[in-house]
Amino acid sequence: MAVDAGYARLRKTLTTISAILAATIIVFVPGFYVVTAYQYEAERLQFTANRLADRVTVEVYELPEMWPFLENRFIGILQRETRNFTQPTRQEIFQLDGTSVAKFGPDVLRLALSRSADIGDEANPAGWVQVSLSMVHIWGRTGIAGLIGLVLGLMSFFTIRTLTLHDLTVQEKAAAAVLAAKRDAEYADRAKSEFLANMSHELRTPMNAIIGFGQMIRDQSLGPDATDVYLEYARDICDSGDHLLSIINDILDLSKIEAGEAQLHEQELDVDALVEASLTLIKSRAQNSGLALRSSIEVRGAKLFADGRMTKQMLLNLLSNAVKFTDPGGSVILRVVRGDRGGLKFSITDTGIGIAQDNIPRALSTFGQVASSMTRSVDGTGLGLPLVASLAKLHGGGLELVSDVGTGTTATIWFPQERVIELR
Amino acid sequence: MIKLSAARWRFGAGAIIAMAWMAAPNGAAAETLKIGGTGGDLGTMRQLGDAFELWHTDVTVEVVPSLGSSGGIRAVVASVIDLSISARPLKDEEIAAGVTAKPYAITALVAVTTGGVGVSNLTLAELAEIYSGTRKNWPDGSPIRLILRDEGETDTRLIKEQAPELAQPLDDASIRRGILIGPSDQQAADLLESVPRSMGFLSLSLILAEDRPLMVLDLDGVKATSQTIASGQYGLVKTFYLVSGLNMSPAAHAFIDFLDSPQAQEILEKTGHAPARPGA
Repeated sequence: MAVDAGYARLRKTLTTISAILAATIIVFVPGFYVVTAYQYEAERLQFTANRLADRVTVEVYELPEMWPFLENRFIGILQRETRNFTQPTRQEIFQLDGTSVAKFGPDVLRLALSRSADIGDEANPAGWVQVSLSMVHIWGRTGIAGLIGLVLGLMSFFTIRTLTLHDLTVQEKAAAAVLAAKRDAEYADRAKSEFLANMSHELRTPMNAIIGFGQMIRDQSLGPDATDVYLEYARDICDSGDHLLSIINDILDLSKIEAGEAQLHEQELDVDALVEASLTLIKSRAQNSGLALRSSIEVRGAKLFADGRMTKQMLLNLLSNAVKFTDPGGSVILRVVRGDRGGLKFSITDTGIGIAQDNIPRALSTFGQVASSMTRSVDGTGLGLPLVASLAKLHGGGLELVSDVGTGTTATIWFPQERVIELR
Repeated sequence: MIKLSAARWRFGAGAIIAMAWMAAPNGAAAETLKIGGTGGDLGTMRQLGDAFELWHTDVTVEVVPSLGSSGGIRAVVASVIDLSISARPLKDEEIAAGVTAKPYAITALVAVTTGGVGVSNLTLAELAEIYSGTRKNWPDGSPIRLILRDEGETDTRLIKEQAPELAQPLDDASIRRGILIGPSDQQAADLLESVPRSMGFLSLSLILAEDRPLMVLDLDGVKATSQTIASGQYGLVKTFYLVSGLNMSPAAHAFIDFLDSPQAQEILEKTGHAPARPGA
């Protein structure tokens, strides 16, 4: 959160800096042009006025009293000077009392800039020359400079903003990824701790049964004649041992897969036979739980190229999960259907308690366990689904879970097309 | 106007000078006659003024530097000068201002050079080539440096009127860079003297009266003289008018009358003038 706020503040600051820079360019380009152009034209006009004044001064010195009559001659001089300007200009020679002696150019100049110079020596000027230039062209060009400035300003704004914000976004994403990784690591750490706690409980329970029943038989706690009871205890000890073994096997399998040491012993499997064998193994448990167990094979006679033990383990895991989490009177159906692009799917659908959608990713993750209240009500280490997912992945396929609380669960294992040998 | 032969002019002038000398009173001149106007005939006016002063010793003739035809007329209107030389007739507004003009002589507008360019005659066609810029060099390969007058100036206007084939070339030359402009007749003459291998148009009267060291070129094989001007053989001419105001001084009246004298006519002839044509 603090990181997000920091980036938002930085983003705002960068946007503000870009905007200030853009505004500076937008103002500076036409501003610089108009100031420079005015300065240049003013200097040029002053130079022209000085030159004309010098020229008139020659006549003033020669004809101190009569120079104001030389209108025609002065007009010739002014006219020649006009050729040095491409824009409308007006030049006029004045006597000291302000009387015009000669003028050339239009009477009215729009947006005129004027400069003047004294005629004669500074101590006793005889008059002055005024040169005016229309600055319409300068303002027209300033408009163009303004447009150029606007374009440059906007370009710089968007370029700087896009580049910096892009970098920022990359950094932000990297930071978010680091945060996510940290969260994942923390979750994994917590999950492992929970797993170990669960595991110790799961291992201890059958172990306690084995030790407890073993001690009772050894000490003949119920007397030497209670043979039937001791036999039942011995069965319980065997069941607990089996359960313990299956937990240990699951852990070993998963560890192997996670360590990348699991190896596939692939062979051609008859799908029909595989389904039949799996159902047979789970049938008695389903019956004991009061569940209807059915199968529906859409593609008869299909052959799969896969590890037989692992495939059977996947199906049994899912089937036993379905049986385990479905209340009496419910049903469990195993379907074999065509998958996408020539693949094959095994779907196990139950009418059990289901998994909340938010919890599905967690149920599929290694060491992830859905609500402890649920896991505690039934046996299991929470390793089943991750193990199935890992085994399916080893085969290039995957596990998909569709479920919601109270509506049951459909778990689907899919195999890719290259593992399907025959599919009619 | 009666046309006098050169011999009779000289005789008349000598007699008048002698009479004036004898009649001259002692002491400083009491009246100053100020004459200005176009530069084309200021030199002539100085010579005429000197001759007039011999005849009218109480009058000092002061010829002011070139004011141009228009400037001179304005100066007369403003009563700053008494008489003014104009190279053009009066405009309506000038007549309305109360001035009158009397044509007193014709001179030639001549093409001049500094000399030494290997040319003594130019045709109008050659002049058109020079002014339009198609002919850039003298026969010896050196560049022709044109000296121009302002576009609105009287000499330029007269040349365009009398030789229309030069009108466009003159306009072309006026906007070419590197061509010098003489704002007044004297300034143009000064430029023609100072710039080697230059060429331009001037009044013949100015060159002769001011004794300018310039070479006058023949035009279409005709040499500009009083005779060729008078006969109309020489094609480019300008008429000089003497402009006077409403309240003319007696000296001004006397000067105008003096212009008709044989002595003045002799000076005018020597300085490249022909008598003004009636009705000019």
